[in-house]
Amino acid sequence: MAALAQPDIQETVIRQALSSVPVPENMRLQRLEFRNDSTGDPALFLVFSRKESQKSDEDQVEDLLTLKDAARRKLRDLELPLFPYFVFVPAE
Amino acid sequence: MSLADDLLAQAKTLATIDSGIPSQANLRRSISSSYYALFHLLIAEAASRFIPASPPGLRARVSRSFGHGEMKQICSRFSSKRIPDEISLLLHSRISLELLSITETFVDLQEDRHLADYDVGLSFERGDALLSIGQARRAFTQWNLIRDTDEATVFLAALAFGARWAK
Repeated sequence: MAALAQPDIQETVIRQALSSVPVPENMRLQRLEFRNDSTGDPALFLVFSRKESQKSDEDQVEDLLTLKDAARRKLRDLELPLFPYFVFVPAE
Repeated sequence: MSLADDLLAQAKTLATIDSGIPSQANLRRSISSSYYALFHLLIAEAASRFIPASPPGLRARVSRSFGHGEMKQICSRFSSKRIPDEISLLLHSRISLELLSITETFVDLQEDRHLADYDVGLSFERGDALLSIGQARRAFTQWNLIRDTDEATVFLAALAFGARWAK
Protein backbone atom coordinates (compact mmCIF):
# COMPACT_ATOMS: atom_id res chain seq x y z
CA MET A 1 0.00 0.00 0.00
CA ALA A 2 3.03 2.31 -0.32
CA ALA A 3 1.47 3.86 -3.40
CA LEU A 4 -1.37 5.05 -1.24
CA ALA A 5 1.02 7.52 0.37
CA GLN A 6 0.76 9.62 -2.80
CA PRO A 7 -2.33 11.85 -2.71
CA ASP A 8 -3.18 11.64 -6.44
CA ILE A 9 -3.12 7.85 -6.35
CA GLN A 10 -4.98 7.90 -3.06
CA GLU A 11 -7.75 9.98 -4.56
CA THR A 12 -8.19 7.68 -7.54
CA VAL A 13 -8.23 4.56 -5.39
CA ILE A 14 -10.61 6.10 -2.87
CA ARG A 15 -13.03 7.32 -5.53
CA GLN A 16 -12.95 3.86 -7.10
CA ALA A 17 -13.70 2.21 -3.75
CA LEU A 18 -16.53 4.63 -3.07
CA SER A 19 -18.10 4.22 -6.50
CA SER A 20 -20.03 1.16 -5.35
CA VAL A 21 -21.40 2.86 -2.24
CA PRO A 22 -25.06 3.83 -2.61
CA VAL A 23 -25.50 7.57 -2.10
CA PRO A 24 -28.92 9.08 -1.25
CA GLU A 25 -30.47 10.64 -4.35
CA ASN A 26 -30.26 14.19 -3.01
CA MET A 27 -26.51 13.88 -2.38
CA ARG A 28 -23.33 13.78 -4.39
CA LEU A 29 -19.66 13.28 -3.51
CA GLN A 30 -18.24 16.69 -4.27
CA ARG A 31 -14.56 16.38 -3.37
CA LEU A 32 -11.95 14.74 -1.16
CA GLU A 33 -9.80 16.80 1.14
CA PHE A 34 -6.52 15.51 2.57
CA ARG A 35 -5.76 17.61 5.61
CA ASN A 36 -5.30 17.38 9.33
CA ASP A 37 -8.26 17.12 11.66
CA SER A 38 -8.76 19.48 14.58
CA THR A 39 -6.25 17.59 16.73
CA GLY A 40 -3.56 17.65 14.06
CA ASP A 41 -3.89 14.07 12.90
CA PRO A 42 -3.77 13.42 9.13
CA ALA A 43 -7.30 12.75 7.92
CA LEU A 44 -9.49 12.35 4.89
CA PHE A 45 -12.57 14.54 4.55
CA LEU A 46 -15.29 13.36 2.18
CA VAL A 47 -17.31 16.39 1.21
CA PHE A 48 -20.84 15.64 0.03
CA SER A 49 -23.21 18.24 -1.38
CA ARG A 50 -26.76 17.82 -0.23
CA LYS A 51 -29.99 19.16 -1.73
CA GLU A 52 -33.05 19.70 0.43
CA SER A 53 -35.06 16.56 0.94
CA GLN A 54 -38.75 15.94 1.57
CA LYS A 55 -37.90 13.05 3.89
CA SER A 56 -38.43 13.30 7.64
CA ASP A 57 -35.51 14.32 9.85
CA GLU A 58 -35.28 10.76 11.18
CA ASP A 59 -35.14 9.26 7.69
CA GLN A 60 -32.48 11.74 6.60
CA VAL A 61 -30.34 10.90 9.63
CA GLU A 62 -30.78 7.21 8.87
CA ASP A 63 -29.67 7.82 5.26
CA LEU A 64 -26.54 9.61 6.42
CA LEU A 65 -25.67 6.92 8.96
CA THR A 66 -26.09 4.25 6.30
CA LEU A 67 -23.89 6.20 3.90
CA LYS A 68 -21.17 6.66 6.51
CA ASP A 69 -21.20 2.97 7.45
CA ALA A 70 -21.02 1.79 3.85
CA ALA A 71 -18.27 4.24 2.90
CA ARG A 72 -16.21 3.46 5.99
CA ARG A 73 -16.44 -0.28 5.27
CA LYS A 74 -14.98 0.29 1.82
CA LEU A 75 -12.30 2.65 3.07
CA ARG A 76 -11.28 0.32 5.89
CA ASP A 77 -10.41 -2.32 3.31
CA LEU A 78 -7.95 0.14 1.74
CA GLU A 79 -6.06 0.36 5.05
CA LEU A 80 -5.58 4.09 4.64
CA PRO A 81 -3.53 5.75 7.37
CA LEU A 82 -6.21 8.43 7.52
CA PHE A 83 -9.40 8.59 9.50
CA PRO A 84 -12.32 9.39 7.19
CA TYR A 85 -14.63 12.23 8.18
CA PHE A 86 -17.80 13.24 6.38
CA VAL A 87 -18.80 16.80 5.62
CA PHE A 88 -22.25 17.65 4.29
CA VAL A 89 -22.67 21.00 2.58
CA PRO A 90 -25.76 22.51 0.96
CA ALA A 91 -25.82 22.01 -2.83
CA GLU A 92 -25.35 25.28 -4.74
CA MET B 1 -31.10 9.24 34.71
CA SER B 2 -27.34 8.90 34.19
CA LEU B 3 -25.26 11.90 33.17
CA ALA B 4 -24.73 10.32 29.75
CA ASP B 5 -28.47 9.85 29.19
CA ASP B 6 -29.12 13.33 30.48
CA LEU B 7 -26.63 14.85 28.03
CA LEU B 8 -28.17 12.96 25.13
CA ALA B 9 -31.61 14.24 26.08
CA GLN B 10 -30.19 17.76 26.40
CA ALA B 11 -28.72 17.49 22.90
CA LYS B 12 -32.18 16.70 21.50
CA THR B 13 -33.80 19.52 23.46
CA LEU B 14 -31.27 22.07 22.22
CA ALA B 15 -31.58 20.92 18.60
CA THR B 16 -35.34 21.20 18.53
CA ILE B 17 -36.16 23.97 21.00
CA ASP B 18 -36.31 26.79 18.42
CA SER B 19 -39.45 26.84 16.33
CA GLY B 20 -38.04 29.03 13.54
CA ILE B 21 -34.45 29.33 12.41
CA PRO B 22 -32.48 27.59 15.15
CA SER B 23 -30.01 29.55 17.22
CA GLN B 24 -26.40 28.77 16.35
CA ALA B 25 -25.57 28.66 20.05
CA ASN B 26 -28.24 25.99 20.65
CA LEU B 27 -27.06 23.89 17.71
CA ARG B 28 -23.42 24.16 18.78
CA ARG B 29 -24.22 23.18 22.35
CA SER B 30 -26.36 20.32 21.06
CA ILE B 31 -23.51 18.92 18.97
CA SER B 32 -21.17 19.29 21.92
CA SER B 33 -23.63 17.51 24.22
CA SER B 34 -23.92 14.55 21.85
CA TYR B 35 -20.18 14.05 22.06
CA TYR B 36 -20.09 14.45 25.82
CA ALA B 37 -22.94 11.97 26.16
CA LEU B 38 -20.82 9.23 24.57
CA PHE B 39 -17.68 10.43 26.38
CA HIS B 40 -19.35 10.13 29.78
CA LEU B 41 -21.07 6.86 28.91
CA LEU B 42 -17.71 5.19 28.23
CA ILE B 43 -16.01 6.73 31.26
CA ALA B 44 -18.84 5.67 33.56
CA GLU B 45 -18.72 2.14 32.17
CA ALA B 46 -14.95 1.93 32.66
CA ALA B 47 -15.06 3.40 36.15
CA SER B 48 -17.83 1.08 37.33
CA ARG B 49 -16.05 -1.94 35.87
CA PHE B 50 -12.55 -1.31 37.21
CA ILE B 51 -12.89 0.93 40.25
CA PRO B 52 -14.59 -0.19 43.49
CA ALA B 53 -17.58 1.78 44.72
CA SER B 54 -15.86 2.34 48.06
CA PRO B 55 -14.51 4.70 49.27
CA PRO B 56 -17.16 7.15 48.06
CA GLY B 57 -15.78 9.57 45.50
CA LEU B 58 -13.06 7.27 44.23
CA ARG B 59 -14.83 6.52 40.95
CA ALA B 60 -15.54 10.19 40.37
CA ARG B 61 -11.91 11.07 41.04
CA VAL B 62 -10.59 8.37 38.70
CA SER B 63 -13.10 9.42 36.03
CA ARG B 64 -11.36 12.77 35.82
CA SER B 65 -8.18 11.09 34.62
CA PHE B 66 -9.65 10.18 31.23
CA GLY B 67 -8.38 12.41 28.43
CA HIS B 68 -10.10 13.31 25.19
CA GLY B 69 -6.95 12.95 23.10
CA GLU B 70 -5.97 9.58 24.51
CA MET B 71 -9.49 8.24 24.12
CA LYS B 72 -9.50 9.35 20.50
CA GLN B 73 -6.18 7.58 19.86
CA ILE B 74 -7.48 4.35 21.40
CA CYS B 75 -10.69 4.54 19.37
CA SER B 76 -8.66 5.09 16.20
CA ARG B 77 -6.62 1.96 16.94
CA PHE B 78 -9.73 -0.14 17.46
CA SER B 79 -11.29 1.13 14.25
CA SER B 80 -8.35 0.43 11.96
CA LYS B 81 -8.20 -2.61 9.71
CA ARG B 82 -5.03 -3.85 11.37
CA ILE B 83 -5.64 -4.02 15.07
CA PRO B 84 -2.39 -3.60 17.05
CA ASP B 85 -1.06 -6.73 18.76
CA GLU B 86 -1.57 -5.37 22.27
CA ILE B 87 -5.28 -5.39 21.51
CA SER B 88 -5.74 -8.31 19.14
CA LEU B 89 -3.90 -10.79 21.38
CA LEU B 90 -6.55 -10.30 24.06
CA LEU B 91 -9.49 -10.86 21.76
CA HIS B 92 -10.74 -14.27 20.74
CA SER B 93 -12.34 -13.06 17.55
CA ARG B 94 -12.52 -10.07 15.31
CA ILE B 95 -13.82 -6.83 16.69
CA SER B 96 -17.57 -6.68 16.32
CA LEU B 97 -19.23 -4.28 13.94
CA GLU B 98 -20.87 -2.66 16.95
CA LEU B 99 -17.57 -1.82 18.63
CA LEU B 100 -16.08 -0.67 15.33
CA SER B 101 -18.99 1.66 14.88
CA ILE B 102 -18.79 2.98 18.45
CA THR B 103 -15.09 3.81 18.10
CA GLU B 104 -15.65 5.55 14.76
CA THR B 105 -18.55 7.48 16.20
CA PHE B 106 -16.42 8.64 19.11
CA VAL B 107 -13.75 10.05 16.77
CA ASP B 108 -16.42 11.57 14.55
CA LEU B 109 -18.30 13.25 17.38
CA GLN B 110 -15.12 14.57 18.95
CA GLU B 111 -14.19 16.31 15.69
CA ASP B 112 -17.71 17.73 15.43
CA ARG B 113 -17.47 18.91 19.02
CA HIS B 114 -14.22 20.76 18.32
CA LEU B 115 -15.78 22.49 15.31
CA ALA B 116 -18.95 23.36 17.21
CA ASP B 117 -17.08 24.68 20.23
CA TYR B 118 -14.19 26.52 18.58
CA ASP B 119 -14.71 27.26 14.87
CA VAL B 120 -16.75 30.44 14.90
CA GLY B 121 -16.52 30.71 11.11
CA LEU B 122 -18.85 27.77 10.60
CA SER B 123 -22.62 27.87 10.42
CA PHE B 124 -24.56 24.82 11.53
CA GLU B 125 -27.94 23.53 10.44
CA ARG B 126 -30.44 21.63 12.55
CA GLY B 127 -29.64 18.55 10.47
CA ASP B 128 -26.02 18.66 11.68
CA ALA B 129 -27.15 18.50 15.30
CA LEU B 130 -29.71 15.79 14.58
CA LEU B 131 -27.04 13.72 12.85
CA SER B 132 -24.76 13.98 15.90
CA ILE B 133 -27.66 12.93 18.12
CA GLY B 134 -28.46 10.02 15.81
CA GLN B 135 -24.87 8.85 15.92
CA ALA B 136 -24.62 9.11 19.69
CA ARG B 137 -27.97 7.40 20.21
CA ARG B 138 -26.96 4.53 17.95
CA ALA B 139 -23.64 4.20 19.81
CA PHE B 140 -25.61 3.89 23.08
CA THR B 141 -27.72 1.11 21.57
CA GLN B 142 -24.68 -0.67 20.18
CA TRP B 143 -22.92 -0.40 23.53
CA ASN B 144 -25.82 -2.08 25.26
CA LEU B 145 -25.48 -4.99 22.85
CA ILE B 146 -21.79 -5.59 23.58
CA ARG B 147 -21.21 -4.17 27.07
CA ASP B 148 -20.95 -7.62 28.71
CA THR B 149 -18.46 -9.02 26.22
CA ASP B 150 -14.71 -9.49 26.56
CA GLU B 151 -14.06 -7.04 23.76
CA ALA B 152 -15.95 -4.36 25.66
CA THR B 153 -13.79 -4.99 28.74
CA VAL B 154 -10.59 -4.83 26.69
CA PHE B 155 -11.78 -1.64 25.04
CA LEU B 156 -12.62 0.01 28.36
CA ALA B 157 -9.27 -1.03 29.82
CA ALA B 158 -7.51 0.49 26.84
CA LEU B 159 -9.44 3.72 27.31
CA ALA B 160 -8.57 3.76 31.00
CA PHE B 161 -4.86 3.29 30.48
CA GLY B 162 -4.58 5.49 27.40
CA ALA B 163 -1.08 5.86 25.99
CA ARG B 164 0.34 3.50 28.62
CA TRP B 165 -1.69 0.68 27.09
CA ALA B 166 0.80 0.21 24.24
CA LYS B 167 3.82 -0.31 26.53
